[in-house]
Amino acid sequence: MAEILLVEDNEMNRDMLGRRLERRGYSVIFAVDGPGGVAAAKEKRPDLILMDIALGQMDGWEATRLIKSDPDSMSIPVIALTAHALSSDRERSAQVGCIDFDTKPIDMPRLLRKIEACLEGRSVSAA
Amino acid sequence: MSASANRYEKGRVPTMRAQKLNRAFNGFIDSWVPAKLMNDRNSAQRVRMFVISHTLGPFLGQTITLALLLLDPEPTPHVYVLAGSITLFCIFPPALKISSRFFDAHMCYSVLALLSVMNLIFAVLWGSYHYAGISSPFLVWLLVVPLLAFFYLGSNPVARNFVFGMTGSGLVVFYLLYQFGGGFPEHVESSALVPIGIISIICAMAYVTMMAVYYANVVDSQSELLAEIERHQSTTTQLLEAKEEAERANGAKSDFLAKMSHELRTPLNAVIGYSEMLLEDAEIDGRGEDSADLKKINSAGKHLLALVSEVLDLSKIEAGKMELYTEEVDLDSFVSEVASTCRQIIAKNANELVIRRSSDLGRLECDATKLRQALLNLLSNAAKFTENGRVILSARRERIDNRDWVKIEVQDTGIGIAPDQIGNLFRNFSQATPSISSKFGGTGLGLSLSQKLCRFMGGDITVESTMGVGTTFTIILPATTRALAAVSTPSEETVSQIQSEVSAKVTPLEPAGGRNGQDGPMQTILVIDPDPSALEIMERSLQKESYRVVTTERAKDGLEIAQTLKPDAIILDVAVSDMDGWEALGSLGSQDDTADIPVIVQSIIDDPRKGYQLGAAAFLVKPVDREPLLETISQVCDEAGFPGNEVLVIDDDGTASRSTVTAAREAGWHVTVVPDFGIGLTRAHQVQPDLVIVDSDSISAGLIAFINGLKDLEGISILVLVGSEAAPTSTLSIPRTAKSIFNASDRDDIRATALSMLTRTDDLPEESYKKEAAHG
Repeated sequence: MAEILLVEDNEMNRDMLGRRLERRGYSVIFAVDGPGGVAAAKEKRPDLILMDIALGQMDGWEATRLIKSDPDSMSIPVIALTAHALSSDRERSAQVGCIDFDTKPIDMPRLLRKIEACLEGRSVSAA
Repeated sequence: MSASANRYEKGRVPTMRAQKLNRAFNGFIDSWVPAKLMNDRNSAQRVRMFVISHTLGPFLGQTITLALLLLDPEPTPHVYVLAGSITLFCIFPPALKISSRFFDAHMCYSVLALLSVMNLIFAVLWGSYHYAGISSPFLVWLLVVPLLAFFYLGSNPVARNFVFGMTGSGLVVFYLLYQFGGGFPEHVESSALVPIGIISIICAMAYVTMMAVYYANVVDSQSELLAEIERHQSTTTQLLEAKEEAERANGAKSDFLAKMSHELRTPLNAVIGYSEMLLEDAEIDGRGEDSADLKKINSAGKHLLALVSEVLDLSKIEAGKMELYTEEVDLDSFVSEVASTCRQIIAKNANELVIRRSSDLGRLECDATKLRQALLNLLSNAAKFTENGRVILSARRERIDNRDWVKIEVQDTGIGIAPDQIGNLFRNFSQATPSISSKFGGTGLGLSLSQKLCRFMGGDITVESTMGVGTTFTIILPATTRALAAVSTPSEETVSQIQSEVSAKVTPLEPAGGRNGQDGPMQTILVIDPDPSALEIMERSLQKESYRVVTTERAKDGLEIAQTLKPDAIILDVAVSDMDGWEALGSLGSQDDTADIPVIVQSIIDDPRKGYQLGAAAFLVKPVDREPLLETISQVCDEAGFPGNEVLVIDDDGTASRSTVTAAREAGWHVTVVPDFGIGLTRAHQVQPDLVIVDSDSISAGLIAFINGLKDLEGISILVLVGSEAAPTSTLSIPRTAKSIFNASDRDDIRATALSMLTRTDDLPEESYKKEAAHG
C-alpha cells in the first residue's frame, strides 16, 4: 500500500490525520518540521507528501520548493494543507510545484479523494 | 406609612393655599425690586430683604406710636415726629424703584439702604430719649440696626464702618443731650411704660424673627444649590472615569478575545477530529448508540468552533486587526459554489432554493472568504426562519454614479422581523426576541459580523422585512474592493469613536461618482484647518469628487488621525492654533507611519520654501480655488507610492519647466517640483531621485554649488537646461557630473535626453546632448 509522508508540526493534528490515514490502509511516516520533511522525502521516498504550510521557521512552501529541487525527491507529489482558501494560496502551491492543495480543518472524505486522485495519476504516469 | 399618607392628605389643602399666598407675596416683593438688581443672585436676595422689611416693618413700628398716643397726655410733637420717621420707611421701596430708572440701580440701592439705617437709628434714639432714656424699652430696637444694615448691604467693609459710625455718633448725641440738656424728658412715668415696653419687645422680636427666618431660608436654598452643584460635578467625574474605564476594558476585551479564540481553536479541532475518528470506528463496528452520542459531541464541537471563529472575527474587527485578502472572483461561479454549499441547510426545513442572476455578473474584486462567510450566514438565517417556503438568492451588477456595485440579495418567505426589532438586528449578541434564541438557537453574532465584514470591504448589508411575509437581506459591495484595512474599521462604532474622541468628522462611505470615483478605489483625504467654515467647504467640494473626507480643526488630532487612518493625502493649513503648523508638517514627514503620505500645505503666508523644506508635497497660497486644489490633490495622490522613476525638477523661474514636468509625468515618472536649489538639495537627499532636472535662466554660483552638493548621492543623473541668457563666455561652467542643454526649446529633445539618462543608455556621445547657444 502507498506510503504517505505527513509534515505537520502540531502533535494532535499529526496523530489524528496519521491514524485516520492508517485506518484507510496507508502507511504513514511523519516529519515535525520543514527540514525534517525535506530529509524524510529524500531518504524514504514516499509515494505522496502531505505538507502543512504553517510550519515553524521553514514554512511548507520553502520545504516543498527544496523537495522539488532535489532530483531524489522531485517526482513525489505534494499536497499542501493551508488554513486559508485563497486563490493566492492556490497559485503559490502551483508555483512551488504542489500537485494539489486542501484547506484545514481537514474534511476527510475530500482529502481522501485528492490523495487517491494523486496516487492514481502517479501510477498512471509511472506505468 | 398610612399615617403619614393621611397627614399628607389632611395637610394638602392648607399647603396649597399657603403656596399660593407665598407666590403672591413673592410676586409683590419682586415687583418692587429693580430689574437690574435681579440679575445677580446675591444682590437680588438683599434687595428682597430690604423691600420686605420696609413693607412690614412700619406696621409693626406704628403699633408702638399708636400706644404712645393713647398713653401720652401731651403727644405733640415728639410722638408725631416718631410716627413720621416710621412712616418714612414706606417710601423707600417706591423710591428705589423710581430712582433706579434714572441712576445706577446698585448705587441707588446702597444710598437708600444707608438712609434707611440712619432713619432707623434716629427713630430708635428719638423714642428712647423721650421715653425713659437709657432704660427705655425702645432701646432694644437698636440691636436691629446692624442686623438690618448687613442684611441690606452685605459684609462690605465701607458699609460696616459707616453703620457703626452712625450708630456710635447717634449714641454720643443721645448721651450729650442727656448730659447737657438736663436729663431725659419725662412725658410719662416709667411704670406707665411697662405695657408699651412689652409691645415694643414683642414687635422687635417678631421683626427680627421674620428677617432671620427669611435669611435662614435663603441660606438653606443656597447650600442645597451648592450640594447639587457638587453632586453634578462628582457625577461628571465619575462618568468620565467610567468612560475611560470602559474604553480600556473594551481594548483589553478585544485583545483577550483574540488571544483566547486562538487558544480555544486548537483543542476544539482536536475534539472535532477525534470524535470524528471515533465516529468512524463506531460506524464500522455497528455500535449505533455510541455513534449517536459521538455525533452529538462532534456537532457540539463544530458549533462551538463556529462560535469561536465568529468571536475571533468580531474582536479582530473591533481591535482593528482584521486584514483583507482581496482576489478576483468570478461572481457566477461564486454564486454557484455558495448555493451548492448551502443547499442542504436550506432543504432541511423543506425550503426551496431559487437562484436568480443576471448574465453580466462578471468579476468581483473582494475578499472571497469574508463574502462567502457573510452570504452563507444570511442564507442559513433565511433557512432557519423559513419553513416550507422559498429562499431566493439573487445577484446582479449595478452602476451607480460611474461606479460598479454588486448586489447580492437573500430573500425568504419566512416569519419576518417586527419593525421595532430591525434596529437591533445588527448588534452583537442580539436576536430579534429572546424567545427566538430558545426556539431557533444561534448566538446573535452572525448578522453583526456579516455586516461588519461587508462594511470592511467598503460595502454594507441592509434589510427589509414584513411580518409573516418574509425578509430580504441585501449585500452591496463595490465591484473593486480596495483594502480598507488602513482605515482600521469603517464601522459606525469606529467612525463615531473617531468623531467624538478627536472631534474629527468622517464623511460616510457611499457610492458616488466624480473624479476620484472613476479610478475605482475611494481615496481618503485628511483636512486639517482651524477654520470650521473652510473645513465645511473643503469637505463638500472634495466629497463631490468622491473623496472620503476626514476633517479636524486641531493639528494634534490630525497627527493622530493620520497615523491611524493613513489617508491618501493630507491638506494642512499651517495656521492651526493648537500647535505650530510647521511643526505639525515636520512631524508628519518624520514619523514612519505618515512619512509616505503627501501633504499639501495651505497658508495665507506665502512661504513655500519653508513648506517644501519641511517636506510638503505641494504648497498653495490661500485663498485656493477649487480647480487648482483638486488638480493638486489628484496629482499628489497619483504620485504617492509611485514605483517608477523618481525625477526632481528645480524650477528657478516658475514657468519654463512646466512643459518639462508635463512631459516627464506623461512618461510615467514621479515628478517633484521645487522652487530653488536649497530646497532641491534637501529634497534630493530625502527622495534620492533617479534624475534631477535643473531649469535655470543662467549659470549661477548657486547652480554650481547645488550640482556639487549632489556628488555624494549615488546613481543620480543631473540634467541642466539653461536659458538664452547664459552667454557662452560665462566665467562659470557646469561641473562635468551634469549634462547640459543650452537654450533648449525642443521639448522632445529634452525628453529623449532625460529618458536616455534614466535608462542609463549613456552610449551617446556627450556632444549630442549639447546645443550650443545660438549667438545673439
